Amino acid sequence: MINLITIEWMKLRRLVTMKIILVIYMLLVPSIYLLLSQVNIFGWTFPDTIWKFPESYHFAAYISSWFNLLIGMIIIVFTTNELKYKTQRQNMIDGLSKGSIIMAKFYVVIGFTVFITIYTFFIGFIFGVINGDISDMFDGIHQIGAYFIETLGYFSFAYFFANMIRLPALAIILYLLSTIIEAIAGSIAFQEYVQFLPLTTFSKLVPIPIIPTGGDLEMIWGQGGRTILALIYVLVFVFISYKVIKRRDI
Amino acid sequence: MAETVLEIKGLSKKYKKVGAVSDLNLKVEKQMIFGLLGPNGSGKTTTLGMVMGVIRPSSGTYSWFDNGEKDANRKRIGALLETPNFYPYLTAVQNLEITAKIKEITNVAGEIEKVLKAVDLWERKDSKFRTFSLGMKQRLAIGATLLGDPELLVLDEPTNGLDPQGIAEIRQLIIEIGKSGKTIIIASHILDEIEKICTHCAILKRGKLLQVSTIDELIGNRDVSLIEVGTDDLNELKLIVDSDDSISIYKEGDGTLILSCKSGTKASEINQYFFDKGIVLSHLVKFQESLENQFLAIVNK
Repeated sequence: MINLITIEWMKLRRLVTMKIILVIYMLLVPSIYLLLSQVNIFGWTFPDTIWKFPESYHFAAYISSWFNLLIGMIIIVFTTNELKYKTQRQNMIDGLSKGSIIMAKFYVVIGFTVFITIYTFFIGFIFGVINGDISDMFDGIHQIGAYFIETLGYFSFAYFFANMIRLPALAIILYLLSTIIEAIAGSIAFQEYVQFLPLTTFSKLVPIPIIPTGGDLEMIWGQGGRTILALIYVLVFVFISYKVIKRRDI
Repeated sequence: MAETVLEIKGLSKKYKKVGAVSDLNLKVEKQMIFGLLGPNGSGKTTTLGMVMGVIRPSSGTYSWFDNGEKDANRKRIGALLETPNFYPYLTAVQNLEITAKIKEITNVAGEIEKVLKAVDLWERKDSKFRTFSLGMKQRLAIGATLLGDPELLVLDEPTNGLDPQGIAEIRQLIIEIGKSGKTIIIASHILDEIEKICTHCAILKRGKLLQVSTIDELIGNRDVSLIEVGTDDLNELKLIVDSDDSISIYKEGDGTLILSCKSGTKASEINQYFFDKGIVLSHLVKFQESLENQFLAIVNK
């Protein structure tokens, strides 16, 4: 496992696309968060609480989640590159198994999830400390845990598309389309079914802040149930990817 | 008995009902330099792709080192299939570091220096792969197969894309590796290459195995001796040959005749024979059929 992670890191660290997208992401998230304080719509402004514990974690996670698509694209580019350059084929010829190839990219998904979650935690933490008291720093931190699952789900979804569809451009387009289609379907009708679809399941893990979602108890139960469903989706994505690649000529 | 390096049993690959390789049986033993010869589309790459684990066989089995189809077997093989496949945004050294890591090679820096020097790319070690010419890419791929000094090389069209000097250098390198006791499996449609490098050869046509033999057998396996003769008056010579049942004309050359004689006939005997008939030969040489002609004869059967 360590060997596989090292190999992926050797490939990833010099990928310029990754660096550019990551820098954009890392600048955008705190900037947007900061800019919200300037929002003034006919006298309405965001309540001060969103930059304070416990809401700061929730808000940081919610804003970060808008840009998960960007990181998803890194995963798609990185994974489909292996097909474009035929290096997946070469890695296998050199001795990797199909299982290792699938797991290696899943480790990358986990790696990005951990990185993004920690980054988001720091944004929430720093804003919270600046605007409040450090002794409250553990209030609302469960949102970061929920965000970890949400992010893992999103990135696994991207990884799944990259494994299924061999053409990078098509994989990215379908990945974006599926996000949009699910959102539209959810907003017009079928809410009772759409809420169980993967992307909606992931996104509801960190619900929209400020707007009440039916009390704390309901929300914690909802997060618990959705966490389990999200993890099942992640496992299914990895499993199907493996099955498909197992059957495929590389 | 020699150790078996690769054994293929009944290997077939069908693409949408079209058979790319059908019912292939082969055995490669240690220290053979085994040529897989066939025209384009004869199934050479498909065969190598199957035994290298990247193409799923429709049926049949293979076994490396008497150890089955395990993925780990491939770490002991240096293989180049079809095209050089590397990360374009990484340098030669960075690419080889990945290969070395996959193959779990120790002394990475030393090995990389050795192979890059062997394929004459040391000067360009820190250039990105995408800046390489086709020939350099091919040389890097050959270098990658040499990493960790594997006991077996599998090379698919190794001189593809190289200039004449590069071709000569790579052939020389392969011959030297073969002499050092390594086993090599090499696929090519270039007869000359197989003839110069290999000890054994399998001929494929439309996915079927036509013949397996040593190169010497392939070139020399006839039940007759061929002798090329020339003289001032070729017509007179022809008359003599026509009147003798033990000799026949195999082929007419440029001012010479290639005679088909009883197996084991010596050139001196032919010289004496014609001298006795009053003909002085100006040209006399034992004729050896080229692999190319043999190959065409086998393939067009």
